[in-house]
Amino acid sequence: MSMRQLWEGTDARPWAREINGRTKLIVLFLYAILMITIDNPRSLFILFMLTLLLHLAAGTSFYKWKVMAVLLMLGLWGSMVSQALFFSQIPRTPLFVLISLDTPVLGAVTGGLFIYREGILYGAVQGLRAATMLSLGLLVCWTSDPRQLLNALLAWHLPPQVAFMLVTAIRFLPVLAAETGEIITALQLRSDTQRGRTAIIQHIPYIAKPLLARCLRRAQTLALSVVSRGFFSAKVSQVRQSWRTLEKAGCFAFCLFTLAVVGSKICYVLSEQGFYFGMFRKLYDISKLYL
Amino acid sequence: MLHIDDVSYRYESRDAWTLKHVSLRMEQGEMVLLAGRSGCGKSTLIKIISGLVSEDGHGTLEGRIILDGQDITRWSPEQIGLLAGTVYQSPDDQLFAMTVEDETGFALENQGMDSEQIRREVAETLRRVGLAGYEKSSIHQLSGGQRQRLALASILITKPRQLILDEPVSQMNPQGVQSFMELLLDLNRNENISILMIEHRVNELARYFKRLAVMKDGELLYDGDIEQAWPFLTDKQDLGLREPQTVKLGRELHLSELTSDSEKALSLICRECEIERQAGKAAVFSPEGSPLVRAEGVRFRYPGVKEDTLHGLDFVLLEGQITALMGFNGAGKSTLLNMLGGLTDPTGGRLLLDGIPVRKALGQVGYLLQESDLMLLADTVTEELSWKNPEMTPEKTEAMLERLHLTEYAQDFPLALSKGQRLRVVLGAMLAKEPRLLLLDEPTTGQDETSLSEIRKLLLDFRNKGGSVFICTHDIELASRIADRVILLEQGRILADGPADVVLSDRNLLLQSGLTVPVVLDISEKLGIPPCVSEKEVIRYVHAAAVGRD
Repeated sequence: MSMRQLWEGTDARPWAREINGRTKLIVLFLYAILMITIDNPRSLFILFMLTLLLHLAAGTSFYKWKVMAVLLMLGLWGSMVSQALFFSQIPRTPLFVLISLDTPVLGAVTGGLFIYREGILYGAVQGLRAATMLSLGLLVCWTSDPRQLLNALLAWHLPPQVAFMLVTAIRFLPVLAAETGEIITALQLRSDTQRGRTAIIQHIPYIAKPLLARCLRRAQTLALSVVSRGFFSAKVSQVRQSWRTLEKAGCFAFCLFTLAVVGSKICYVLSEQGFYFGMFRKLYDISKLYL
Repeated sequence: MLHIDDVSYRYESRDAWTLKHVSLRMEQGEMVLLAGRSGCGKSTLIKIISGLVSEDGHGTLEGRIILDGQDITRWSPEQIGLLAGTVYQSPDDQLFAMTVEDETGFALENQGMDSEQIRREVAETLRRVGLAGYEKSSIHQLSGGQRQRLALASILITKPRQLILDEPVSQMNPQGVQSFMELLLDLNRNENISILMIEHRVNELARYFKRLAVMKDGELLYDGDIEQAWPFLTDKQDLGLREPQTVKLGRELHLSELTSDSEKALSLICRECEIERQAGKAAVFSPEGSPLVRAEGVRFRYPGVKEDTLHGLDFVLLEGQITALMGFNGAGKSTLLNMLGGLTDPTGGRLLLDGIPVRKALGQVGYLLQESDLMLLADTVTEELSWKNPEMTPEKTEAMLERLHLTEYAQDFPLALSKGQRLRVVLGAMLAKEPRLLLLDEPTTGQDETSLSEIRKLLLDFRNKGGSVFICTHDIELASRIADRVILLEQGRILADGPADVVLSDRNLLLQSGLTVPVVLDISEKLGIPPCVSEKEVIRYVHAAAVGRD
């Protein structure tokens, strides 16, 4: 699979592609609210696993799984390591000592370097939040035609110009990915050292300029192309993909669920601040256990 | 009918007028080829016709555009889009949807048409452009030529009366050009659609058009019968047009008439020139330079693929030699170039530069990618030439700028230069590193004649100083003019390897490699002289000193 194909949304199973853009965007939005609201690692993990199950059901290709795995692992690992090292809240329990306070010079300079148990947990929670949204975002990207998302935004009466700008990025993802690969090749070719021939990371600062210049040209042509095909004067309501009742009901139910989660979390936080109501005891228990 | 009536346009940010009193009238069903150097105002004219530049858009527009009897000068692009459709140079930039079906139906969706009707229209339009059966395909699964057909389909679905095409074939190989042009001819003949096409490659397109319009510095310099244009263009080589070989040959032989029609050119030559069938052939290529690159049984297989892309290639590249690599798309040319550029290793055999693996020969190989714009990384031309090149002193940079004819652009942003200038900057950056082997992947794509001539000079100069050039191209004219040797590749195997004039004059080999047969080869065969692929070769046997000329 080429870099370009990696970012395309046309190889997913038909059911995933046919879901209305509005449903996808609503689920993405509500999921984001849940990720902010929930602190419980188990619940976060379940929600994260749910996104992976959705990938499985949507038929995400093996190559895309591999790419996603790398991104997720990097995100999770980075978050956990950084929090484990630099967790500053109290209480904190050191699991390992990397640099002891007694170490000459370094000990005094760093104030000691430890791996904190609470930091790992906190990092895992933060990492899970980011990983879940990354996984779901990729799912939307890999199962959607840009037009589908555009139609969704237009159906919500967003100005066509704004909707077009928001969605163009997804349209260009496959092309940008391919061109990034070509620029890296160009940088390798123009490199003056043997290391530069193989290294990719050292070339990253130089990728932006040619890529942006091309993007500007492309965006201009694409805008001209869609304008002359009547996009900005489109008769929105008649043609846009229909939003099935089942999807609407699903979105409504998910919306209610999210509201319930947010509501119970607010109640629980208020109870901790002294606004305690006995009739909500069960709710407080659920919130404490799962949220 | 399209009538451009005394149109002038000035961009708000410029003092000079980009278009100056341009008038052009096209009858319904007419095909016009519009040519001219980069920056002459062609694209601005297209934008004005499409309604994308108007007085509302911060510039000053004078004159009128009449389309189908209606004054569309102040119409919105959406309104004009229903009468005139525009196809741009790169299909990748203008396609919005991910599948063929969605892209084609996009304009009708915007008109609010019923989805069942859209489906029927999409199927019919895709059939017209030869993409039936691709409805559900991803746009990225299509070849470049197919994507351009799709771009055309997405316009044709609204049934425009006028098509405007901005260099639509500049990135296609000869077969792609032929196939696309035949499609346009069909549309023109069967549906009476008017076609206005902008393109530099007049040499390849002349036979499809009866009328040529030429622009220079915002003015219409010529507008008329394409066959009448050649004498007019004789002393105007700065226009950057690539003329047909027969025209160039006619000019060399001082024929009484210049024509793009090979039969007519043949009869003129027979009537007006002396033909010396026994004249000595030019010196046959003999490898004189010392070997630089040695390929011994080079194989390559992409990961996960069951068959080799390259099947045990053996060849030697010499110093001081230009070698052209030609063949069908997918023959393995780019794979071979990537290996020579040190980007990939052979999966079998050896590829050595002066006895060491090419991958380790750092700094000895310069590789110009087809998308050369992606190789521009710096803020100024000067900086670009010396990027990661510690050997580049200010004096050397200045000398290089002079060689590239870019001295006045030394402090300009490279990506803001014209296409030809951008290519020269990248080529200059390669040459500045003084490589021993220079690799070029389709360097002539989208370049006008003036730019081509500059590139030819640079390459010949490099070759004459002992450098070896390996150039991958579909352009037979370029290969015949600069290459000493040609390697034809077919399905990963070398089909032919020999002197350029021998390989390129073998009709069967050319056809087998998916290349077009040069008109001059036809003429030389019919004249009974040894096969020739360039006009320079023909004049060895055909002399202008003849009867019947003015």
